[in-house]
Amino acid sequence: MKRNYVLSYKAENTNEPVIWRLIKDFDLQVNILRAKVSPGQEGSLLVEIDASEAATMDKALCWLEQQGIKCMGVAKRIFWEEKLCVDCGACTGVCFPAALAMDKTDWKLAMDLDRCTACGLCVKACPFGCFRLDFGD
Amino acid sequence: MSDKTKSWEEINAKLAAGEAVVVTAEEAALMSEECTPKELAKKVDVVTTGTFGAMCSSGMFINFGHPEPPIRMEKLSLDGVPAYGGIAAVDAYIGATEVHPDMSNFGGAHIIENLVSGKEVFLKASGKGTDCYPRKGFEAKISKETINEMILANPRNAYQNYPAACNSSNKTLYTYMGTLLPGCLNVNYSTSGCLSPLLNDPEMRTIGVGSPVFLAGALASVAWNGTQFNTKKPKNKHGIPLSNAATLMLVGNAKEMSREWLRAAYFEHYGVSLYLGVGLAIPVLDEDMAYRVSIKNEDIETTVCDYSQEGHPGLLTSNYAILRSGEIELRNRRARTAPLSSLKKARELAVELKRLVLSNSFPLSPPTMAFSSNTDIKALLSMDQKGRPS
Repeated sequence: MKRNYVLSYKAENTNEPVIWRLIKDFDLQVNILRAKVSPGQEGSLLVEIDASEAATMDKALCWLEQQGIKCMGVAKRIFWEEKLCVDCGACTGVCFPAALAMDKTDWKLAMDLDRCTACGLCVKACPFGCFRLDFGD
Repeated sequence: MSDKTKSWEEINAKLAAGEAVVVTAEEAALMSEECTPKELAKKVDVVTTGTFGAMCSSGMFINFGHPEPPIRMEKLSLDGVPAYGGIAAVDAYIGATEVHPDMSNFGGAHIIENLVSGKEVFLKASGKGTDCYPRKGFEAKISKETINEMILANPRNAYQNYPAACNSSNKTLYTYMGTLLPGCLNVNYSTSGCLSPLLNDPEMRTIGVGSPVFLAGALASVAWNGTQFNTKKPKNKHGIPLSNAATLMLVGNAKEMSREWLRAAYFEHYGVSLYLGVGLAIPVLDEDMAYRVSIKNEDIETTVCDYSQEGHPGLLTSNYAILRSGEIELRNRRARTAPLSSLKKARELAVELKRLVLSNSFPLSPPTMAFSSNTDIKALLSMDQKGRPS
């Protein structure tokens, strides 16, 4: 099972080799998609975690919480203000994980949050300011 | 009625009697798969079109009414966005792309949308003071209830086709055609294809000065040809120009318009623009018009242009069936394609216009004057130090 998470580091745990521990101790595949981590400062890491079993993923997430690292699914970090949307589709051309796509029958914008990698390209591409990305900024 | 032609009067009589057949341009395209243009001309009387996209060349005339003592407004702003005051005392024009001096993502289009929506806007005006207009400054909140006229007057709308855009450079470009990723990773297009008004009457046999038009929810009028009107663009075998060609200048009462069909937009690093819903009802006068209104997306071609190169050279010719599929082959790679105009709203507009035509709330009338059929556009030349074109 693959999931995208934003890991929010506190200043005190930016020096911990967290990703190494996830791979070594929990046998996870971790792909870093975006990172904003500096020693001694709060930071965020966008990762795709692939676990063979749901239980392993749960254990790893539990361990992260114990380390004081908040772990949140990407779906909770991207906001689409649907009432501003006119379904133009300008965002879909820049969304490579295809989280944003036009429904080819009614040409309404459809969003699949599980696919979102929080790249933020949609934020600038939308002419109506429909998207907001919270990446711990 | 002859076997081959119908007059405007005959179609209007059928509409008045509730006997006319009105379909959208998409429905006409579908019908053409099963019947010939000759059969379609017999079956269908009117075809409705629609588009909802960015139309930068738009703006609004406002007459504020005279205060007492009166002022000759020379410089003025609306919620901080400058408006043009060089027209009589209390007339002004607010352009859609005018930008707030301190907020690059807020401008004239937002003022127009807010006024159309019934919101209050802060007017600040000044003048030098004259014997007949002694006042030198004026500030007040205004709204569509307090001012005399709000007339949307758009120099160039409803482009007949538009090139699609991509970017072959190695950095992202932010343009009025949206975000163009490097290495031709994406292609953006902006036309409602077979629903697009001027693509359903490419020779403009039924559209001209005085034609009724659905503009942002109101019954409006084609005032003239639009600026940059060009009849000399290369055409495909279906008579469709392969890039931006004809345009319309549209005028209508903005007090009757609705935010549903008029929305301010901001393109990153480009600026403010206005999305408008525009639709025309086209009478199926004869077999030729039936052929025109049944045009399909695969028969409407456009040029994919490279916005990273000077002059935006065309890289290839594609069609709207391909562009709408979501991907296109470009330089031996797959590129994503995305629309900038809303097909969903274009469809809704064409359906709404069909309802208005059928209920005799939207008139069908021939133009009072045809557009020129022999016009192209000039480039603006700079001059050298001796005043010669360079």
